[in-house]
Amino acid sequence: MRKGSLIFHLINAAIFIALEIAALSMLRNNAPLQNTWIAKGGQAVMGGLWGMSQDVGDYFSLRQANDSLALENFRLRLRVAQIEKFVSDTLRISDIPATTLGYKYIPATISKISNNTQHNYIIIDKGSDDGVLQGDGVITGKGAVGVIDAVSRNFSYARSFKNHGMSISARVGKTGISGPLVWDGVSNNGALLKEIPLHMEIAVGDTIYTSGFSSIFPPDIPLGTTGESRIVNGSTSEIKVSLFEDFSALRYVTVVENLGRKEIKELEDRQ
Amino acid sequence: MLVAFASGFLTDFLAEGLLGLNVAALLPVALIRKGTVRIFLGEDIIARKDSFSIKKNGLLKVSTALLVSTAVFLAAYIFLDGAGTRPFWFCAAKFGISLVCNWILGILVINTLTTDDRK
Repeated sequence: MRKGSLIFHLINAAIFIALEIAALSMLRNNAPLQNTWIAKGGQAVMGGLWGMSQDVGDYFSLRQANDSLALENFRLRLRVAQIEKFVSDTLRISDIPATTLGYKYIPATISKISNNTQHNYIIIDKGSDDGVLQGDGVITGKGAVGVIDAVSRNFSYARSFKNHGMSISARVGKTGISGPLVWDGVSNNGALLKEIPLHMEIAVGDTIYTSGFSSIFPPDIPLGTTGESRIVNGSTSEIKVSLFEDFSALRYVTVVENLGRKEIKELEDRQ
Repeated sequence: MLVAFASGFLTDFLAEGLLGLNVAALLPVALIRKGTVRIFLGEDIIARKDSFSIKKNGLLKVSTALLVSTAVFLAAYIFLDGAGTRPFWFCAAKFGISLVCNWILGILVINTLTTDDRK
């Protein structure tokens, strides 16, 4: 009798859970406010679980992470030394464009990453409590990897660059032609630089950088190197790009906020 | 549970409200229905599959059962409806006022619809 009663209660609970999930799904599909709120709550819970499960994996990959950090540290020191020399030899501080100084950086660790679909994402362990805002960029020393789409208190959800429909404004060299860089949709580190005018000669092996024309990413972040090109629709060229960043080995990223983004958006809305 | 789902769905659909809101709020009430009856109205009603009324069971017991069920419904409804956008005091005030009004209405409905078998 007791066993039968227990089974009855379990069945009752299972029916309740199934119907409640159906009700919440209906609510999500019909109410944008509740959809965002439920999604944020779900991400907060899942982010916590994934964060715990990543700790063990992180422990065993510490050596590789240290090597990567040491390399990035070296590159940054080299860059700082170049800027200091440039400033002391040539310019006053006030001559350095304000846009290069108008960014806030927040280091973060990846809690979960998706790499195997057409709509990939990254979840990091920093959220609104740490100053992350929706629309911030996510970068590493080897490229721009995503844009923050949703923020909870302690975690943030970013659309990966490896996402159908995602593009980054990129430039060939530091002063060359610019165009949208999109993921090629197939390989782990392949991208396409589009809308390059036919008359522009792009050599194989040129480095691609962020152009600085978007209100998300700072300029001059190295993204990859150019490969072969092909003509599209008889009017523009499309250049294959090999990205520097290996998305399957991503662990540490930096969230970057353009401090002038709000003002730029207000100007755009006024037009 | 299925009756709660269907009636909640119909309410949302016919009232052109947020589809799923009343359903999600009614299901917990259906889940605790038997427990509520067992605690406040007695095991006998369930065992004998008997009905209840204010005159048979007393205003206090029926009121308490009604308050518990309404409180569970309102808590779920207000929580899901606000979606984290309303301050706590607003939700608490809404809960309190709704509970009182629904209790009064519920007592009137129970008094009208339930039969009294005692002579």
